Amino acid sequence: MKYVIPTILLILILSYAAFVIHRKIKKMKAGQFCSCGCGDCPSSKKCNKNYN
Amino acid sequence: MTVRDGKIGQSYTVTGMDLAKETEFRLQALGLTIGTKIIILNNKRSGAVIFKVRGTRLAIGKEFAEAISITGEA
Amino acid sequence: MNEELNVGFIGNPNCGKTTLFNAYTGAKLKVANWPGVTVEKKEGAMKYHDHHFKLVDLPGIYSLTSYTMEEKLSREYIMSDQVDVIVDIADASSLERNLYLTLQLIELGKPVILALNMMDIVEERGMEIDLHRMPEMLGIPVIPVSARKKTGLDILMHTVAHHKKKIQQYSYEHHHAHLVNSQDKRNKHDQYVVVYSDEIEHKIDQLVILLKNERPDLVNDRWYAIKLLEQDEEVTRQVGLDVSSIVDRSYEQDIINQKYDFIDEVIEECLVNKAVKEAKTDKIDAVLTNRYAGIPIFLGIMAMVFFLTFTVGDFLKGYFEIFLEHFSGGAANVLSHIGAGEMVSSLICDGIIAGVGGILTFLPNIFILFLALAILEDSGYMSRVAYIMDGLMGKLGLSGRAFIPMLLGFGCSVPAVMASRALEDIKDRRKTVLVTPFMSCSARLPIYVLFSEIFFPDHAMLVAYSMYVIGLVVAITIALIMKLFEGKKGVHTLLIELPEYKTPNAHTIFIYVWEKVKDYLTKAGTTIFVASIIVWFVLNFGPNGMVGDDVSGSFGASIGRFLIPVLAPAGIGVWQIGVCLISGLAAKEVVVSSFCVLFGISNINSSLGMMELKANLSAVSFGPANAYALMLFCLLYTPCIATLATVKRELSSTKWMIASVVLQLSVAWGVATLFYQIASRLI
Repeated sequence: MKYVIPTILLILILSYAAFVIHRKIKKMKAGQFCSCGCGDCPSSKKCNKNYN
Repeated sequence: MTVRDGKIGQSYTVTGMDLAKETEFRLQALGLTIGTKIIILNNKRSGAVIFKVRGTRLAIGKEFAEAISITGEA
Repeated sequence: MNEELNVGFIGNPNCGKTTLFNAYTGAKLKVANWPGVTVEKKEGAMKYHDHHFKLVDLPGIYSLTSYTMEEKLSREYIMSDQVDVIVDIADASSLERNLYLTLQLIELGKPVILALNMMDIVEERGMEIDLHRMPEMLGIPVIPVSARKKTGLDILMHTVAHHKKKIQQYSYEHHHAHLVNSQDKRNKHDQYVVVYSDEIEHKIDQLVILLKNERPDLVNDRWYAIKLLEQDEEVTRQVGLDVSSIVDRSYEQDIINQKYDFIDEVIEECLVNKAVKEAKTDKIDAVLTNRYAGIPIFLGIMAMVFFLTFTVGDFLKGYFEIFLEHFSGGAANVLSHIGAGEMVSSLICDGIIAGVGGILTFLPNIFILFLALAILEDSGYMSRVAYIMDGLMGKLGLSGRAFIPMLLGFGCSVPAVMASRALEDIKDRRKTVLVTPFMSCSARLPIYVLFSEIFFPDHAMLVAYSMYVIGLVVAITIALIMKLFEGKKGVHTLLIELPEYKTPNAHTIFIYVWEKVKDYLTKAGTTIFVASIIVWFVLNFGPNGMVGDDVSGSFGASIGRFLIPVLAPAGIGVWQIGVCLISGLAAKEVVVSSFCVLFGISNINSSLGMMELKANLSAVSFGPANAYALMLFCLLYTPCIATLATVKRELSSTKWMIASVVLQLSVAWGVATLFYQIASRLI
């Protein structure tokens, strides 16, 4: 019984971490590299227009 | 004389440009057409110049300033 | 009526287009005076009564030729059927040049509405615009608005809702006395806003006939005819006919001139009391762009920015620290209450709370930095900086415009690298992109704050400021070296518009700074959260499972030790530092977080926390010289992954991204080593 809560906590933390990593990788693949929050990055469209 | 030689605070009239076609058209799109009046607002030893044309303030580098010809206005 | 309307917002840079866009969509997009930032197409949606509008904010452009990507993009977009109504936003206080784009838009034949923005400034200056005559002359609705004061916004949307499909709403009335004789001319004047000289009109007629026959699929033959006469590349290619018999030369210059002649007429008739009070901006410029005082003033302003970042930032920081203390203490209590094991406890307290909390205490500093930058931006000073630095930039083989991305780099390298798009020459872009990461981004600030306060307590601010200066110097040196290698050629000449100075708008600034704060917090809750867990894991687990107090048996220690021989000459040959530096790849703030996690210090910004860190480091003979070398290394070495990815994307090449990495690592190592070797002998 003693270990239930901490274990739940651990699972929560790890799943949150996994979720964050998953989202980041998805964003990277989609070409959104907004780390410091460039307000220029459109939320739905990708920054992927090749201007060359 | 060219824009580079202009004196601060004086008005001049543009008589010609000797630049790449693209650059000329860009400058013209900005209002710098032949026959327009400009006022020199600022210039530096390095050759960059700030001037006002048709109510717009533009800053241009040395190479451009040397390629735009002007005549003085009384 | 429940239709969806596609509305395109277009206009010159600096006309307040994005402010207006924000006001409608509430999308909180970035608002800046800096040219080249608003390059992307932004979309938003809004509802007006029963109408759904899809709003698109097109790039700020001066004309619709096909010379730059922005212009091509906008033109394409407008010509396609994706746009129902165009809202052309013009800065009413500098109307002449703005009207040039308006005329081009009208000639495109799509429904256009002219929104005269900044009417509040027009009023202030005692100017008057004849809003009755102008629509008559231009043939389109003219709506006065003030995006800042939020006036006229409803009326504008109302007009938009009703303007779809209407191309000419008013009949033109021009006063061309000398043309009264020609009925033909009068007909033309009834149909078109801009009527050119006889010679050109004649050629247009010929081309229109040709187009009707050979390309009946094209709509708006007049526009195509005009473009063909300008020898527009794209159009000529698209039309695909041989028109050399008619288009014997390029008439672009004539056409531009004649458009401006018409604009002169419009201004003559519609603008009363042309601004007399404009002098203020010029007076300010006389000082700020003075040939002698310009650069010193700029450096002074930058120094003041950092001064504020430190003093005001530190003041606010105190509150954060107190909160963090309580929070981490409380968490530790709760955890022991619920009987959490050592591992989970350590993960939460020494890992997550230490890592994330540690970085959150720096928020005030970041906040002040961005606030100051936003004020400088919004006031209009930033474009002056391009002019001031042009002389110096010229010696580096760049135009003053290249300095703006570099200055942006003080905030965050990612938008700074993206801003290099404003430079047209690929070589210039490449040079700027390689050099910009050397400008110390805000994420590195916590590192300087921390180490300068620990090891140079009496001169903390000066030391931190020196980092920024050195970053600038290194950037300039590299650019210079690159110039020597590339030889001559390349048109880097400056061409930039200097907008009027204006009092920074509180709302705009708030949005901008709030965006940055939000992103900082988000970053803390995501990247740094995860990175702290990873760092915690790497430092607390070794090949034999969880290590206890002896951290030197962990994976992290092994990795760090591997780097010791490399880092030793630079005075940072301590395995702990190696680990922290590597973690900096995720985000530079993580370097500080890693220190927190590494030494189990949860409140690293407090005096207690700092003493603890200092003690820990002194134990491995880490002193002021080492600290400074460390800061130098952090200043110059590889930026975060996000920046690297952006570099790769902007230069469209992995090769150059790797070159950037190699460049930064070598420079960082070189400078840090050079410094340390000299400094350690002098002390």
